[in-house]
Amino acid sequence: MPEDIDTPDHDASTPGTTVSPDSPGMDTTTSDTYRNTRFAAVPRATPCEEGRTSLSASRLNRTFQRSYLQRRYTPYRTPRIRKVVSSTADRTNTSEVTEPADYRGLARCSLHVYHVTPLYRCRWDRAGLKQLSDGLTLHLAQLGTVGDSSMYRTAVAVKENADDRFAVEIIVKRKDTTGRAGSLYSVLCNMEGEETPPEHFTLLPLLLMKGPVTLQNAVVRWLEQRFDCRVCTMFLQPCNLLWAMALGLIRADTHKAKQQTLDLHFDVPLKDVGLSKMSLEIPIKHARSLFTSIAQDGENDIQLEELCLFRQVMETHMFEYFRIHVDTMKLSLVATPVLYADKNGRLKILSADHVPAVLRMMTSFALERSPITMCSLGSK
Amino acid sequence: LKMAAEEEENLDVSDVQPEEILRPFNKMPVLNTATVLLVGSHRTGKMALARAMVDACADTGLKLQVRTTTSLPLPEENTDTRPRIDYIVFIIDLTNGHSFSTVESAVQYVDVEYFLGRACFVVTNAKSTSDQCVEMEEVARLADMYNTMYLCGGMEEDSERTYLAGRVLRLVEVSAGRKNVSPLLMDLTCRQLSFQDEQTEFYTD
Repeated sequence: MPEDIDTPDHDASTPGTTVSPDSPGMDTTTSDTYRNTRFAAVPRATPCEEGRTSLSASRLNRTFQRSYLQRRYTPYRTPRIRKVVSSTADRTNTSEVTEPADYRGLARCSLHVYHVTPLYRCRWDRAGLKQLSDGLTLHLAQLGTVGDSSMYRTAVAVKENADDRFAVEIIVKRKDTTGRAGSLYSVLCNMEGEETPPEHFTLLPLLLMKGPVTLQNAVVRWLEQRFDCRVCTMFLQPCNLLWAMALGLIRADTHKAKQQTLDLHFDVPLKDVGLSKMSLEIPIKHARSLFTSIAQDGENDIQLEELCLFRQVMETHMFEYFRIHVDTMKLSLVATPVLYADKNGRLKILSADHVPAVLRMMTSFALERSPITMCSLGSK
Repeated sequence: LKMAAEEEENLDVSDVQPEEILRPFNKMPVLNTATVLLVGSHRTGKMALARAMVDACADTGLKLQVRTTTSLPLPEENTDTRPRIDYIVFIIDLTNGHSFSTVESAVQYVDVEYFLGRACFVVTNAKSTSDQCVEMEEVARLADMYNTMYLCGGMEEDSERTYLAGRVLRLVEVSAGRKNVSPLLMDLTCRQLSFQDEQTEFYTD
């Protein structure tokens, strides 16, 4: 915490010694390194919960913030700043004339989101891809009923993006029906993150799948077998859902005529009484004006503190007007005009323009959960 | 120095009155008795923990009184009849964000002497990560800010609750003067006082 520059007047750990004013000073340099998460280049000021000081214990806090105390706990470090770029900036970024990546397959359908550990030993040339699709076909043939040798046709393709990033597309089609019914479309990608994985590994931490659940499970098992990785459903925690909501609010087009709302669904811990879910609907215009008044204007980066402040504002409003303690409940679903995100790892992006930004955010969530980043953060 | 100036002006706007702060040494201790205050919002399991603690020390010769509250400061009208609070336990339920915010506001009403070994944070529901609203990181940050240890425990099952009550009771006995050791010394032995970068588990109680 950055408050340790203060001179200590109550050194509680060693009651026998006298207070020495130079002890906190030497820790400021080390504390700054912990500020540099992947996303923040600038150390931030106090987070919102430490702004209030207490008459009695504040002096104790200030004396004691040694940097080593901060690193012992959970490996999940939430970054303090995220880039939530508004849609206007998107258009200026794509100044290249190259064909933009085709995101239409991912828009307007409900996707299951998984996070994947690095993939081992994959060759992404034509022969390698042919091998992969053959392997997948064989694996899926075991799914079919007896007598039905192969009902699926698979295609594994690699798509390149403008930024030199590549994504792997896996398409599984049923042979007997035409169209998209019963077929699976999935994309393995890495939209963000500059970690270089170890040798022989490829880092593609985000997997999006659309299709029947049996097919999804089969493809997941094949991926785990073929690439020696772990594929897990990405359960979005309430803080992740808040980031998704922020993205939705920033990018929402408020000039549309129809009434748009920001929906927040909460899990209520009152199942025995009969109430299990509570949903809160806020008109987008109001939510957006509140958010822009909280967020510092002109910046595209949203701070964690601003998001916390937004959440606290909503909670106090609900308490004042409805006497509902929203903070006892867990946020389970966020619905904005741009995207729907659910705590069980389901995602729906409503327009192809917003797909890159949403995928970037999901990749950052996936990277937070991956063991490579945890190891790299731990060794810093 | 800039931080010191900020701190001064923050002190001016804080609304904690000096008489509302809970102090440990305002009253005299009583032989073989201890009073514990459990602070936590609704439905965090205070009553169950209180009963478990009283049951656990039924035969140790220590007369334990457990008081519970959902918020601090404590009401003024009971100030004279209330015995000296020897130990404070702040209960945080990770599935309930409200419990964390009540504890955060409650710690401001507690004198600094309590954080030298006479208080602890108890974190419940730390195992079921799927239902959690409060991040463990935030609780750890709060505990770091006040340099107070935190215990993780369960409140659902009886065995877990009695185990947790036993751990808290050991700390309460030290704080009540039964073990002839200052609680500050006990608190010191729970942490390592080295200043390197690599730190392992602190609280091995």
